Parts: sequence; C-alpha cells; structure tokens
Amino acid sequence: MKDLMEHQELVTVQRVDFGLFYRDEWDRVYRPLAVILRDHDLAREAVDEAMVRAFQKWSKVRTYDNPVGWVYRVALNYARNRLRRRWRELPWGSVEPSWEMQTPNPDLMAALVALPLRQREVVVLRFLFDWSVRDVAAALGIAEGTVKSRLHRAVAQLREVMT
Amino acid sequence: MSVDELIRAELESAVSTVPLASPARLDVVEGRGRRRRVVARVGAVASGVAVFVAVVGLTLMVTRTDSTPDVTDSTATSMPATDSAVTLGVGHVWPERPRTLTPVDLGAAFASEVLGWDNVSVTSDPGVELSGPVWVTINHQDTSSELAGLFVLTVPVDGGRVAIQIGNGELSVTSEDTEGSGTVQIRPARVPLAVTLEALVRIEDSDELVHLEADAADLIELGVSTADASTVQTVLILYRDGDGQVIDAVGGHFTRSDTSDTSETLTTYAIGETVLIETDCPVADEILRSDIGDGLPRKGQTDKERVDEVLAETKDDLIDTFEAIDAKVIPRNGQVWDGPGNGTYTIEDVPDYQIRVTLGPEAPCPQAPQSWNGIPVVFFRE
Repeated sequence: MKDLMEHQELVTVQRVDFGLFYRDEWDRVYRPLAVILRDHDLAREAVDEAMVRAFQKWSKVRTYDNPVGWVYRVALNYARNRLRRRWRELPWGSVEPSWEMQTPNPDLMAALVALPLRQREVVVLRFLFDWSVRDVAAALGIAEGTVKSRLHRAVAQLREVMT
Repeated sequence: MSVDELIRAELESAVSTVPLASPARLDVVEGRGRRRRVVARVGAVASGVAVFVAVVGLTLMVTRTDSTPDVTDSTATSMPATDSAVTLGVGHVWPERPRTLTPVDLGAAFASEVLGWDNVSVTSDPGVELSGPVWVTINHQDTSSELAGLFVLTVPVDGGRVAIQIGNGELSVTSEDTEGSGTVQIRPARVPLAVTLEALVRIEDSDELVHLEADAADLIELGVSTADASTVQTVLILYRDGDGQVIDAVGGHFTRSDTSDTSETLTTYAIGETVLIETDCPVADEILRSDIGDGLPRKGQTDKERVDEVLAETKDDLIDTFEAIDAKVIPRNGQVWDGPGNGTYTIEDVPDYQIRVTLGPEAPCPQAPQSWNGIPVVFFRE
C-alpha cells in the first residue's frame, strides 16, 4: 500500500510538472517553428504532437538538460515527415508564409528564407532561442562542428546581403 | 548594430508576426498519450504473429519486360498483392529476404527483431498506396534516446517488402581512409547518449551480414580494401546506450566517392512509387528508382568508365552551365532501363555512377531533374 501511494504521488507530481512545462513552453516552440516552416497551422499541429510524445516519456524527458530542445526536435521531425512531399513540389523559398510576415528588413528575411533548411534551423535555434552551439547540436542530433560550419556559412551568406 | 544583432532582430520581428494559436487542452494531450500507449502494446503482439507466418521464398534479382505486375507466389498474404514490384538489387538494408508484410508490420518487425524494441507504435502517412514505397515511423515508448521517431523507408519487391533506408537522413555515415590504412573505414555520425555501436554490413556476393562492434566515437574498419569498396552494398548502424539498449539507427546504400577521401551517404525519399535522392535543390531531385522507368537513365550511360570520361571532357561546360563551383563523380547505385526503345524495356538495379554538382551561393537551382549527356546530376550547395 505504501508503494502504491508513493507511486500515485509521483504520478501526480509529474503531471503537475508536465502541465507547467506545457503551459510555459508550448508557445516558445510554436512561434520559431512557424517561422521555419512558414506554416503556422502545421507548426501548431507539430508542437501538439511533440507535446503528446513528451507526456508519454515525461519521466525521462523532464530529466534532460534541455527538454524544450527535445520537444523542438520532435516537432521539427514530425513536420518534416508531413512535408516530405510538399517540399518536393516547391522550393522552400517560394512558399509564401501562411500569414502576413512583415519585417523591418525584407531583403535580409528573403536571404534567410533562401538558406537551405539545415542552415536555417541552426540560425533560428542559435539566434532566436539563444542556445549554445552545444545545445543546438544536441537538439538536432548533429556534431558541434557541424553546427559551427552551418552557422558560419549561413551568416556569411546573410552578411553579403547586408553589405 | 552587428550582423548577429541584425539577424536576431529580424527573426524576432518575424516571430512577433506569427498568429496567436491556442495549444490543445492539457487533458486532451494527456489523453492522446495514454491511448497511444495501449495501441502500441496491441500492435507489438500483432506484428509478432505476422512475422511468424510471413516467410516466403523469393528470387533476389529479377527484371521486368513491361509494366505488367511481376508478382511471385507467396505463402502468406498479410500484405496486399503488389502491382509495382521494384527490382531487388544492391540496396536493401533489411531483412535478409523480403517479407509479405504491410509497411507498418515490417516496421514493427524491424523494431522488434533488430532494434530490440517491443513497446513501440508504428505509423505510416494516412492514405499512402500500400503497393508503392512507404515511409513508416517507429516510436519507442521507453527508450532513453532523444530520438523523436525512427523513419524507415520500405519498398515492395518480388516476394514481399524490404527496408531500403533507416533514418530520415539527419544522421549519415561517411567512409574514409585518411590514415592510409588501405581499407574502408566508416565514421558514423554521433548520437547523444550513445556509448557503443553495432554495424551490420552487407557485402556483395556474400550470404551473411558482416557484424562489427565499436565504441561510438570510433572509426569502424570494415575489413574491405579500398579497391573493393564498391562491393560494400549497405550499412546499418545501431547505436546503444550504456545499458546496451538501441537508442537510434541509421542505414542505407553505401556509397563511396573514388575522387575524394570522404564520401557521403545520400538520403532518399519516396513520392508514391518513385524513390528520389534528396538534394539541396528539391525540384531537381534525381529519380533513383521508378517502377515505370520514367526519369531513369539508360543502361550503360552511367557506367563508371563513361561517367568519368564525360566529366573529364565536359567539366568546364558543366560548371558554366549550372554556375557551379565543382563537379565530381559519385556512386549512384540506382535503377536503369534497358531495351530496344520500342516500348519494351527492363528495369535493373546496377552499381552505377552519377555527377554531383556543388552550386555556388548565388547559383539558382534547376527547376527540373537534370541529366548531362544522359548521366543524372544531383545538386548540393557548399
């Protein structure tokens, strides 16, 4: 009986814990993902799906250094899978965003969206999430050196636009 | 304002324009998670039964003389009879022999038998044609991995279905011989939490998989001389954590460039019944497999000797045409068509070659798949 009570207590704690995480972090993942995907409906669907998986594994995910990174990665992979066909039909840069995206420097934004996805996602994680190179590498499942090289190439291209 | 600050400001501005969205209610998210756990356990049991009844005899190398379905007899029919069998050649990763399973059941069998994952949910995109290539996603409920879901590309072949790619291309395997050992070495991409890894290597003309184990950070010696590198057909890497549990996997065609020390494993994906190579120019992605032959090169056009010769003679023109930085010959290992040109043709898997073009930063992507003197071209940016 004592074990059962402890188990129920743990479940309750984890549920409250996940609820706080869900409330605080959902929007934080959704918005940058919408910018990357240029599709806010898909971003919402992907984050919902990622949160379901986070809930399923919450006893482990909550112990990770960067649970938000895990959710972001799951959501991005989910969206990629859904878009596998759509992206084949149109180059990404030609896909209009699903909302009116007005920014102060349209040329820079155009250059950002023209970056290959692999570079774009690194730029977004580094600059928007303000994650370290190590965190970006962990979130994307790639080596830190790969993050650095993608970042370097991306920034070099963007710098050309701004000069 | 620095470049970094300008980029950050632009992105923050873009993010601020994203429409407000309401997340699903928390109890709905939790409910979906709980229901999926139940479904996963039921699915694992069902797939075990399917594997038991699904073993059939088969012919490994077949060709077709027209578009008529080429379906071999099978003793089990858990998968619908295929009308688009593709030739089974050098490229399949698992299983050793095709199985008459649905894509989802094949994914579950792979999870159980290879990964050691029993508590899984396996899904495919809704509405896909079961007679063609199908991606499935394996989600493990208990693994300590940060893996979001393992993608497996399955294709129908005579005698059933096989997996030709494991993973979605985020991880890759490179081969190299930077230390001059004279043998092929592979360097798997790193996976967080992986401590050891296991490599299953399919060698041409060998009935058995070569089985190797190593520390996760190690180079793996395949025991194959660099001269014989083309005999390596597929590589499957299983990543294990400190408890020995598989936490991630990657596998696919093994390709090695003869013109550089390092090569890459190209990622493929399927649209309907056609398998393409994923590149940095999506609308120009090259067709690697097609059950009707459309977009495939003609047999002989992509032989190593010819591709080398064409590139040597026309490289400058090629670079000018595509505003490229570089071009080189890389393995393709895809399908070609052969025939007299009167509508009768065969499709074959061959160990062939193609041209890899590196585009400059300003160069536009071609707006359709490209060939150069009959040789397929794939485009990547530096």
